[in-house]
Amino acid sequence: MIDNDTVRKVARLARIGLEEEKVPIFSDQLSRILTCFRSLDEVETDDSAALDPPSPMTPPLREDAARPSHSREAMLGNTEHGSRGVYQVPRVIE
Amino acid sequence: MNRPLEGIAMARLCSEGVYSPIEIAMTCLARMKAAEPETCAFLSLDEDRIMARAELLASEGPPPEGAGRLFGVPVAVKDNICVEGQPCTCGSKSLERFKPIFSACVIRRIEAEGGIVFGKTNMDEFGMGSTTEFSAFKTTRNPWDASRIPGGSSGGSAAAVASGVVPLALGTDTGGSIRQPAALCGTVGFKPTYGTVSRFGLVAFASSLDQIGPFGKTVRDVARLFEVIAGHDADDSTSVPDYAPDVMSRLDEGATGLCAGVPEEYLDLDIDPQIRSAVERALDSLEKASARIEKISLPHTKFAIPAYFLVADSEASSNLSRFDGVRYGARNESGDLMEMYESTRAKGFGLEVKRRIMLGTFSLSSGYYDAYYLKAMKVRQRIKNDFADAFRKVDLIVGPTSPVPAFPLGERVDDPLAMYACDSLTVPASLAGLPGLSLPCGLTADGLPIGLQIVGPELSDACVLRTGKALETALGAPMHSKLSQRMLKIVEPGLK
Repeated sequence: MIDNDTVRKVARLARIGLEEEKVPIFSDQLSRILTCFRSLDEVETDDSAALDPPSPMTPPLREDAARPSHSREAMLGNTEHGSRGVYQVPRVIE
Repeated sequence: MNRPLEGIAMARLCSEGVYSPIEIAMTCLARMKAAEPETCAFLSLDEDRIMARAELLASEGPPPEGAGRLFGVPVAVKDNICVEGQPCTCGSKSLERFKPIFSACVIRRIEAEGGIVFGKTNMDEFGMGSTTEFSAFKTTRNPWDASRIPGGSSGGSAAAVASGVVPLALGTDTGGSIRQPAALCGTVGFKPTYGTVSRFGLVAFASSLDQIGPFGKTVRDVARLFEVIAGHDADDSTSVPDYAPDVMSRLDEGATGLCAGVPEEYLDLDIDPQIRSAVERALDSLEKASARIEKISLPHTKFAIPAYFLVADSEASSNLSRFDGVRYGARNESGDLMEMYESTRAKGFGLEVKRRIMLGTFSLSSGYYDAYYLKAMKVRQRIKNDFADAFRKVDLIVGPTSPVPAFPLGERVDDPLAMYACDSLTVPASLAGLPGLSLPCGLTADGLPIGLQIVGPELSDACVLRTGKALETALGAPMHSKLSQRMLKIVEPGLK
C-alpha cells in the first residue's frame, strides 16, 4: 500500500531524513498499520459532516493591541546559533 | 511523618503548622532517592530549587484560610509541561537541553496555591506511546512489579505517585495517557473535559485531543488538584469560557440516583478475564451505593483506534514541524537548509515519533486526505454522536480502563498495532472530548492493579469525580490507599 517511493516522498514532506535501508522497513510497517485502519471504510459517511471543531465554542477575540513579550535575549537562550539578535541558519538564497 | 500522606492531608497539616514544608520536601526527596533506582520515574529534579521553594513557603508561613489549597504539597510534573528554567525534554533527544522561558498556566496555578514543583517525570517521547518505553532517556518500571510497564505516556508521573514518592502528579492525556498508566499503576488518574484545563505551556502532540490532568492515590486528592488547575485561561484559545469548577463542595454527595451505562460493545473487545471480573464486582459495589447500572450501545467503538491514530498523528505531524533545530532544540549542521532539517529531525526523533509523523503526513497529503484524515474526522463525529445518544439514557458510562494489566517490558515495543490496542478503551472519550476518570478496583492474581473508567458528558467533571469518590468508598479504604508492600518497604525502610 505504501511503496518505497511513497515512503521517500512522505519522509521528504515531513522533513525527516531516512537512511535508505530503513525505507523498506517503514514501507512494511506503515502499510500494515494503514491496512488495518482501512476498517474505517465499513462506516458509511458520505453524507456526514466531519468533526470541526472538537467543541462548539466560538474562538475568542481580543483587542488588537501589542502586549509585552519575552526579551530577544531570552528567546535566543535556547540555541547555540543565535547571533546579533537573530537565529542563524544555512544560506537560503544564493 | 510515618507513611505517605494524601496531598490534602499534607496541605492541611502544613497550614496548621504540624509539619513544615521543609520537612515534607525533605521526606519526599528521601523517598525519591530510595525509590528511583527501582522505578526510574524522574528525568530531572532540582533539589536546590525544591528546598528553596519549601524554605520560602515556610518563611511566609501558613496562608490565610481559604487560600493555599496545596500549601507545602510536592507535585511531580510530566516532562512536556513547561516549568521556567527547568528542563523540558518531552522524553526526546531533540529537546535534551531545552529549558522553557516561561511556566505553563497549570504550574502558575499550582504555585499560587502553595504547591512545590517536584521534578519532571519520564514519558514516551512527545506523548507517543502507551508504555513509557519510547522515552529517549530511560525506562520507567511499574512500582508493583519492576519487570513490567507502568503504562504511558505519563508512566513517570503514575510511578511517582504509586511508589509513594509524591502524593500528586500532573500528566497529559491525548488518547489515554493519564487513565491507562493510572490503571496499570494502581492510582487514580483524571482526564478532564477538553478545554477545562489550559494547554498554555503544554508541548502539543495533538491539539484537539491533549489535556493536562492529575494523578493521586485518592479521588479526593485528584479532585483537589483538578480544581486548582482547571478554569478559563485567556492564553489558551480552546479554553472553555467562564469555567470555574466547584468540585470539592459536592464530592461526598454519593451516587444515589445516578444511572451508569455499560457499553455492550466492550464485551466484544479482547479484555483480560480478570479485569472483566474485577470491573463486574466494582459495578456491584456501585449498585450497592444506590446507582443503577444499565446496558447501552456505543456502536462505533471498534473504529475508535483507527480514527484516533489518524487524527492524532495528522495533528502531530503539524505540531512537531517546529522541531527543526532553528530556534531551539538540537541541531545537526549539515549542508543546506533542507538537509539541516532532515538530518536534525532524523537524529532527534525516535522510531515511534518518526512512524507517527510519517503516518500523519501521509494521511494529510494530496490524494490521500479524503480517504484517511477526512474519513477519520467523520467517524470521530459518529463516535461523539454515540456518546450523546447514550447520555440521553444514562448519566455516566463505566467499564475497564485498560484491556490488559501491566505486561512485561519489551513485550509490545516492536509491534505498533499491539501497542495501539492498549488504548482501545480510552480513545473513544478522547475523540469526543469527554471527562474520564480511572480508579483502582482490584488486583489480578499476580497482584497487578486493575482500573475502572468512568466517563461523563461534556463538562460533567464534578459528577464524574463524585461518582468515583462514591465507588472508591464502596470498594473500601484498603484499595484506595494501598501501596504495594514492596514499594512501602523501599520508601519507608524503617517500617516493618
